[in-house]
Amino acid sequence: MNKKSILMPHYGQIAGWCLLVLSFLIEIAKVLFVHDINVAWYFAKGAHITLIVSLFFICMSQEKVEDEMISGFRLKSIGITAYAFFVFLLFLSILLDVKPGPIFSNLENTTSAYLSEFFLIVLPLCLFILYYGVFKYMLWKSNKQ
Amino acid sequence: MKNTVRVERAILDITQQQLADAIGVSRNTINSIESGKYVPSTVLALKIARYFSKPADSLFALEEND
Repeated sequence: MNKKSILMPHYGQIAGWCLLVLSFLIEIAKVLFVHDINVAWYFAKGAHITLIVSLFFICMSQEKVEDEMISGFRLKSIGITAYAFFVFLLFLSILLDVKPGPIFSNLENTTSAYLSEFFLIVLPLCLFILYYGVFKYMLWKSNKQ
Repeated sequence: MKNTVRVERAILDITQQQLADAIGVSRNTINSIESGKYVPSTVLALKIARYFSKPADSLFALEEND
């Protein structure tokens, strides 16, 4: 049976881990050597993009032997991640006092700036980390048994 | 679903890794199938049956609660 996979080959994981190290190196270089805030911003953006891309490569690459049981684990992990994010975003929308966006930026206490930072930087990382964590936990548990 | 994969493997005196390599899955998957924690797809069940040269329904059987 010929099934096309949307996942990258296994060596994508190695590339992902290398990029992850690179993103930490960029961040360390920024803290240690960059004192100009404009240059630091470019370093921070570079580190963030490298981090997102590295997590994408790590999460979306096949295991050494990618069989149907592992595909099942991936599906379950995606389901759990989607469920967790649905609950989290629901609570977030209830708990946060969200004010209108940039159109109404003359209003006081707009939350849009904080939210955009949160949604663009923190949430994608959490998404990948939760998915990968759950997936690896399932693999580990299965191996242990 | 119960199965006799472990018995068949013992008869042929092969390891889980050898069986896994022969049918293209991980050793972990074979272990999970043998211990009844994972029910293989039809394709995988037929591949295992072909490897042991036996019909699939002699290796895999439904239990009462299935």
